[in-house]
Amino acid sequence: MSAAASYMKPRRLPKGGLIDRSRPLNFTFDGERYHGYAGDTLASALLGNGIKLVGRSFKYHRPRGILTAGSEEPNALVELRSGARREPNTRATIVELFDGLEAQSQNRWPSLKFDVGAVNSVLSPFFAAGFYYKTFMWPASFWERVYEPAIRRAAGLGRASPEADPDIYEKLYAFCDVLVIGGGAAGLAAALSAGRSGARVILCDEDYVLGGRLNGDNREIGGESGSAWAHHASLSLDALSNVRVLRRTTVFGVYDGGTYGAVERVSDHLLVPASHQPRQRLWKIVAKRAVLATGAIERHIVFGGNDRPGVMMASAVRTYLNRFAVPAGRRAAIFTGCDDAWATAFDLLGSGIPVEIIIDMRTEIDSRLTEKASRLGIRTVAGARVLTTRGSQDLKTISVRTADGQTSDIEVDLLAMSGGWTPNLALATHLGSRPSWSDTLAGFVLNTPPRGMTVAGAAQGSFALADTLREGDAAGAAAAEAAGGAVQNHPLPQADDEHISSKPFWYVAESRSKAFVDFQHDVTSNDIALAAREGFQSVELLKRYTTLGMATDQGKTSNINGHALMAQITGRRMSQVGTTVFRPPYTPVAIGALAGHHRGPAFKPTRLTAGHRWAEECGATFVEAGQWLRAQWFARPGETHWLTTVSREVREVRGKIGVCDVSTLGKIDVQGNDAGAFLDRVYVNMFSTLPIGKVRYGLMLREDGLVMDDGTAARFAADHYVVSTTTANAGKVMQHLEHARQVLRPELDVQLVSVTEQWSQYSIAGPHSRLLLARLLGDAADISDTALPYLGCIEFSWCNVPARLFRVSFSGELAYELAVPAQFGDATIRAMMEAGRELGIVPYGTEALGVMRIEKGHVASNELNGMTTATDLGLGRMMSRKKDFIGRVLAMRPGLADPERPALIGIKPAARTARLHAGAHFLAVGAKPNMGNDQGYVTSVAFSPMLEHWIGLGLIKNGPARIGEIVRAYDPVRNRDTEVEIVSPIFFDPEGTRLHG
Amino acid sequence: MRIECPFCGPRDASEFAYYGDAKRRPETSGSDVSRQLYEAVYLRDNPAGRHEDLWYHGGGCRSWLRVTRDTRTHEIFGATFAAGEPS
Amino acid sequence: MADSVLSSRPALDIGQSQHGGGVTIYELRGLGLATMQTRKGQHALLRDRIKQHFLLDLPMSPAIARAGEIAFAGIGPNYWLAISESAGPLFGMSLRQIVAPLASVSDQSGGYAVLRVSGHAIRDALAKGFQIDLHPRAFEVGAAATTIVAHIGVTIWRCEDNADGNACFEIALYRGLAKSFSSWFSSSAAEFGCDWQTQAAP
Repeated sequence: MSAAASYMKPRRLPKGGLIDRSRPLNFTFDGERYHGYAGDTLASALLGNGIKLVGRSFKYHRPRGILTAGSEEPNALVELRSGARREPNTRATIVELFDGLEAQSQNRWPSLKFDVGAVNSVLSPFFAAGFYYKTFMWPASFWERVYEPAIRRAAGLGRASPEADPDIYEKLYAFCDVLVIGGGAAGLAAALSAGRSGARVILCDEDYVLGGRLNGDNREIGGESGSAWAHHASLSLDALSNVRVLRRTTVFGVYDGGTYGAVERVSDHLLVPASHQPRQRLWKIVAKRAVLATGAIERHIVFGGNDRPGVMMASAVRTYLNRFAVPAGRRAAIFTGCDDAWATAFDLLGSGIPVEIIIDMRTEIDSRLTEKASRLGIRTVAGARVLTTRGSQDLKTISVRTADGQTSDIEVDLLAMSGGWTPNLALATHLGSRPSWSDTLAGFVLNTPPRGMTVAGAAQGSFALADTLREGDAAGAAAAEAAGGAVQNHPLPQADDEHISSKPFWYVAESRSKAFVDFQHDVTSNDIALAAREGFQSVELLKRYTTLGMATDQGKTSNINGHALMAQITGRRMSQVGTTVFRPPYTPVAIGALAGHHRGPAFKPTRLTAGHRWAEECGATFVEAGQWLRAQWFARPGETHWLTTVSREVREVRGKIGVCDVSTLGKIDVQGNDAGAFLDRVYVNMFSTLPIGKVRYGLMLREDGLVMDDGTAARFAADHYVVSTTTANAGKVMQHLEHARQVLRPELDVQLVSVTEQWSQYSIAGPHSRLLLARLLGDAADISDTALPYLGCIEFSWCNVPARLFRVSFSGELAYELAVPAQFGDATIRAMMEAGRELGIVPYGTEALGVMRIEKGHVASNELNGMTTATDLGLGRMMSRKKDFIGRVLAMRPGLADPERPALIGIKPAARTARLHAGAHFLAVGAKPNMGNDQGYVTSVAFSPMLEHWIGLGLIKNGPARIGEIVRAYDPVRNRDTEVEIVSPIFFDPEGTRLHG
Repeated sequence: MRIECPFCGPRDASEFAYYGDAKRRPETSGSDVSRQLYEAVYLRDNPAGRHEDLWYHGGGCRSWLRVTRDTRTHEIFGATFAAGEPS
Repeated sequence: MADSVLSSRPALDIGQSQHGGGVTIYELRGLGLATMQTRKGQHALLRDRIKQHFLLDLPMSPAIARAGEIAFAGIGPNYWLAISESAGPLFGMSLRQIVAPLASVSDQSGGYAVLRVSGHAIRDALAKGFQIDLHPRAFEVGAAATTIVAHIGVTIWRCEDNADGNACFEIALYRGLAKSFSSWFSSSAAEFGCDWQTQAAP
């Protein structure tokens, strides 16, 4: 046992507290083993083992101890667990102890006791507020190579695990009449009155035991102890079927429309989650009404050395003593400006801990308190203050100045301080409500809570227990009534008397040593003064300049002190200075909880065609197209490179026959007496004149005149068209068409429905495609060239199943698309492959399809990139002059009609063996590569098996007039500069003879 | 944010797509149509207060809705069918 | 090929059942499905036609109305999903003939998968993805809703409670998304025990 461990003797009162002494637990901290009990937090167990030093501060690496007993803790941030579950920056004060827990202190090297980083404290004058803005400026070249890597290494406190998270998370959506936020006295009273009215109630509390401060203080309600009353109240609530009690659940955000976000720590207190249980659960709660009963947070006092381990909040000392049976020290002093903290002295003495002195900053103190202290033999001084503390890593002495100006040193190892209480209104400000200063309460309160929310209890500035019970009860009843419930009258529990008067002093002016305001970000009173001197006097600027309140604790204990200091320095009143507002989350939320089920392959849904299983059996390689999986190519055994496979597929399709699953393209049934007139409105070309049984290629523009999507529309009846869209734009086009139907032209008789999933659709392409279809369909349909010419469509029954056949071609080959209802899609593709076997049928994927359409100069998504017009794409003549259509007017803007705009051309590498890459920009030969000389860009490239070299499509200024010219395809990102010849975009079969085969 | 769809009832905003101002587009005939349409598409008022939005309930009944919303507080005052009440 | 029969496939493979019996799920097979949308000004006539032919009142709100083996679920204003327990892929065509020229009909027997879910823990499982209130008083028998679950569009309606008193729902969604949906459903139901069943053959 090391010499330093002599002070770490276990401390635990023999009885009392809400811990279970029959269930001891083992845990480790910085590698050493310790014991605690079921019911302990990590912080209470550490204190119970006499451990005071738990971390090193962020900037100055000052030794730090446990300050509070709640989620507002700024100091005791530990790294919890190891391996894949390691989590940094966890507040030891809220960690529920479990057997086998491992914790490490943070931000220190090589150890907590001997931390090299403490040198920062010596250099502290250079690390004052705002130093980030003033240093690391010069030389500019050092930033990326020297400063940033150094800052990154120094940044942060703990380390996240680089391994994958082994736990699952889930989301849950809940609806209720009344959401009660906070399970302390006010919250329990509110939940009881609302619950008994029969309303649907949800009560959330961040702790694993309900009761809030009732479990930390020695109070009485209705003759029983406060914690017993809380326990009975929670049992009553658990028994009500219309009430859901969520323990270990923090409401972290208030959102519009009565929506609340909460995170439930389902398994944080277990070594491993139980089977099928998530680690954490994200709740999205929609509540008709809410009661905010989040209590108040005790403020510290700003004086020299106030951050030394052993200096703690007075209410936290009571909590450790009363709830956990842990005296936080052996010899105590109290430093306060409010009545409340005197109870800490009485409780400590009552448990056998000597209290040396109560130092009260007020000159006038309630005589009942001074008399009681006197009876108990506790020395008290009024109008006095603590100037500074001493002790290297834990408190040894305090230096006290009394009203007469005399200074003396007192030996204590525990200083319990209280600067008063701040109503915990963070959640109420998430929607922008700003609290206003109340002189009577010496605190900020909320005058206008968000819609549907009432504030009750200490959160409202009502600090007396009797008031919190009454307000909670009334708020719960009112909320239940407003939500439609029927409230019954019932008697209120009686609370004992108490003293609550308080006077804020904020800070001790005479302190010479560092006086901390924001513990987690190491912001001192000097930093506040510096900010004021440099002109950052508004609380919003103060916050950003000094980083006060920007740490993970969001300044819960420190904001008000900082604002008060700024007010005093600049001679303003608190009501003038105001306070900052908070944003969600109230406390940190794990990304896993926000993701829930949606991670890894489940990040987004996967959409599969009916032919997917068959494609898998054929060994397809798949590609994501939006949510869909599409077969990209079908490698044969022995084919080791995708280019080999794809080129083979193209040759086989153009040579014989191939089949491709095109089910993913959007299909929309457009029906109604005005269906044709409607399509005239949305396409640039005419569709009302399309004969029944014909298909036409169409282009749709956006309102601003740029091309949105292309596709075909087929007409099966006077009042029935089927519109096709690209895969990627199916949803967007549907929204666009519904907008045209419902907003632009609501008088038209037209109905739209997506049938993308209804039809499995296969493209059969190649010289033998008609032969195959004849074998497949038999007598079901006449598919001769006269019966079904190019761009024709027919409906028929095949094997007692409705089917459609479209003669369209993206590949430029003789081609058809066969559509069957999707439940027959699997059987159809198999039948097709069987029927085509002797004809040499092969499956082909999206890559081969892409190669063939590029060979034919057909535009696709690469060219329909949202920046091109119909004219740019060589389709300007499609735009009808006889009718109005969406985008017509703005497409005529001079900037969009400018012939200088990059227009569609084809390219071939000047040296035919060279490779082409999409994305390259066009430059004239010899031109300097800069924006001024940029002439356009390459949109699509492919290796053409028919031409046996690379080809591409692109957009270049004055494109069609420059056929034959040589330019450069310049790609500085990948270091390429290739000379290319501008050619017609139709590389193969320019006469289109194969189409009509 | 929650929007009360006149068909589906109150729903989370994630079911909807926001389009923008519900102000009607000008007619596409007439001498000044290019400028009028340009202003309608590109230049929009941004009032602080009640505003008429167009939203699309794509995650629900696929109705286009005119929604009255306070741009400062996101309070929603009501939503009606853009196409008019169904007969 | 012409005289062969084309076999149909269900949208889902049977999943792996887990202990617990809190939830059951199976895919309804052989359904005829179609969407129907009123044509302008024909609403009153359409309601009469449906009432005459199928003996039911077309729902004007998100709700499902049943008569025998036919049901109509309101999925939007003047917009219904029609379900026939037996008519199969020709249902769309026959419905179109019945209602022409008052409404536009599109066959959807291949477009949707319909799942029937129930069990004592079904609401707890569904609450992990449905952002609508499925409390028995808020979502009564015959209520319907079209919404998004785990990024997937679905229409859900509440059937009569089972003989054992447990709530029962049917969920219609695009066929192509059925596998992703069932993966979410399995995860959500895992803690309660999920029983994957096959529907008894009609």
